[in-house]
Amino acid sequence: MSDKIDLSIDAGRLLFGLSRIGYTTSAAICDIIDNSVRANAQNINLLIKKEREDFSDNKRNNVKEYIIIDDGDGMNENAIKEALKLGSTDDHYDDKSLSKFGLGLKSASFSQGDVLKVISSDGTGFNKYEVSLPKVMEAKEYFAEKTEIDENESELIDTYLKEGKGTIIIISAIRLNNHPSVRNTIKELKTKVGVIYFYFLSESGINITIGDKKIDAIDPLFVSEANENGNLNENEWDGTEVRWIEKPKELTLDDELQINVTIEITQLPYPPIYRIKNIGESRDKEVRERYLIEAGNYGFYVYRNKRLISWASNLQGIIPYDQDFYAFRGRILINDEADDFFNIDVKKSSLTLSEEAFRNISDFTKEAKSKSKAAWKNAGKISRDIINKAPNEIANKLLEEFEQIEILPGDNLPDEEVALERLKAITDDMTSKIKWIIKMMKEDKGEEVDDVDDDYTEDEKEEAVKGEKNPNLTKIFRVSSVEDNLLWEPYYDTDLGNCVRINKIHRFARLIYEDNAENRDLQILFDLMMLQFADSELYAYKNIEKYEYDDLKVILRESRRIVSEFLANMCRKLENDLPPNYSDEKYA
Amino acid sequence: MLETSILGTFNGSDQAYIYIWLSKKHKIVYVGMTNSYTGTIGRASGHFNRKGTLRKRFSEARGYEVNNVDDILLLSFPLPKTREFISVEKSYREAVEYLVQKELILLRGKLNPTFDVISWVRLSPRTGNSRIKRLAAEIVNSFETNYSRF
Repeated sequence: MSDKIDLSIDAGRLLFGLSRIGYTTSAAICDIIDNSVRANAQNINLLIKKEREDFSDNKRNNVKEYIIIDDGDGMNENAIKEALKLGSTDDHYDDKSLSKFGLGLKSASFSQGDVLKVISSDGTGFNKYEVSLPKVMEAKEYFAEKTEIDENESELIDTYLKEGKGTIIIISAIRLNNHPSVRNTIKELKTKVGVIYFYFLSESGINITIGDKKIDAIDPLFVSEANENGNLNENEWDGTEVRWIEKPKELTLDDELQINVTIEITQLPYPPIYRIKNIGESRDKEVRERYLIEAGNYGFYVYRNKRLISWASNLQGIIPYDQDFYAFRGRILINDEADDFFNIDVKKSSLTLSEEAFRNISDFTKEAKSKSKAAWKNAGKISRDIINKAPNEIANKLLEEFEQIEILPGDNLPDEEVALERLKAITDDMTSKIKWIIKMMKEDKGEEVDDVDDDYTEDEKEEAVKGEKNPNLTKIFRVSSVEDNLLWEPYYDTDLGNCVRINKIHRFARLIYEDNAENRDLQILFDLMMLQFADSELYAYKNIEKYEYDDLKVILRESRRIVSEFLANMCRKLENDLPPNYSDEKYA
Repeated sequence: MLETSILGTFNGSDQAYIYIWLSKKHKIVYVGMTNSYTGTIGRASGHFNRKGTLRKRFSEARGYEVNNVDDILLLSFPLPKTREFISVEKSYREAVEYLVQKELILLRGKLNPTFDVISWVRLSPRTGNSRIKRLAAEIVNSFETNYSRF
């Protein structure tokens, strides 16, 4: 028989440690809301009191108190004391409980502030107890103090708990060290609370409000839309709709123990397609926000007893960190029987899968992952095809049978000697320019370049001149750099003939190629027009004898510079009025 | 009497700038760029008028007006006097501005006093360009080296 040795606990250090386990403000508040839900509350209100009311909501480190009020069952004096204990009893917790450790209220509250106040009544009268972290640390003893309900608190009771029962949790003495702004906390809570309590908000009729704003339920899988749109065909999906990858399926994690979970997976929209879907709409940002499509939101949402316990988990690598999975949304519904297979931490913010659960879920999701990735890539291809390649290649193709007029009416064809002289001057200029073009290309790729040697390869030359190696591009090239950042420049060599290099990053080019990406005809016409501008410049160099070649070069180049600048200026000044933002109504 | 030396910062006729507004007491940094004919001093009016962006962001970040701040410094970094930097088309300037802002955000924890970067800058497609990266690094380096004496 072993001897029992008393290993005393320093309550102050223990509580301090608990307060530093890494809750975010929103996670802490949600943990307290859990208690309200468990207490059968119908109305849960969160109030955020600012330290300086005159400061804007955008100011960080300006929260004085968080107050969570619920009209649930409430607690009598003994129950309040029990709730304030560390490791409070789970006698009252039923099988559907959201609680696990009896630590949530304390750890969540002290993660944000130094003082926790609990005011509650089960209908027999309100009592108030408070715990102060500094006092506990000083005394090295864990204790609560019974205090008087003050005027402000009475007002809260009168306003929100008219039936005489319910609970008010006040977290005060907020630690103003890198504490988020009220605006950011509210913004995050709207999304988090909407997703975390999706089932309670949508099925149980619970109301949760922040200040006077009601929180709406958010289904992170958007199942109702998937129901309307049907199953995902990854080879045809254009990214505009939510589709089912896996409709709800029951998966057995353990045969003997009969542990089952429900898994469902949807594919959310591919936002870039919304830049080009309908002329002038450009709704990609709105779609990203609506469907919460961003880095931290793809993966599995695990709900335990209908409360979210893991937000967008990659389940230990089952879903890789890869942008191609941005539209993948899975949900696993478990109840407390599956707890041993999903080890949940105190914060209810992360979980660790057992080996069996990992294997089963990993095997089950293999096909879904592959479908989701293939669909995302396919939508990207559709989007890119529309945006870029097709119009540029079409413009080039249209020129296959086109012959430029040799000499304009009224102009005289130069005699052979002059013509050869001019052609040589053009060729020499262009040859010396190649090295510049290659240098610009390399710099755009992030390479450090001092000077380009003469021994560049043909491949390098082609990529630099055309912007990419593509045999379908013969005359009109969209490139990332043009000398002096002008909109376009003529290019000539004996193989390609007269060509144009268009600076696709120039503001006017971006207006055509990006802002109006869905307007293929506009892009084709713009490409063709640019070629005619370049062609006409080369025509003048070859044929206009009354001006010296060097003078022509200066004048035409200056003209090109001024046009490029005027167009950039126009885009800048009329930024929000140019197509596709143009509206008939505004100018009617 | 308040005496303010503006050196050559009013000249933008053939010169573009990256500039940084700095208040060490209030721990604020605001990054911008301009090719304004009136230089960074001329550009300042747009930041400090009633609807000015710096005025607005300052108030959002600190919760009070910028009016009582008495230690604001304007640091101007001239860009190369070449067409791509002084032109109306601003992708080159914007790229340097973006990289400077990004680097200052990374740097702020290492400097004493630390600061919040309150400007908003556009992401430019040219931020991968090696020449632009070098220019931005030079500006940030100069800021860091001189920070203690500002």
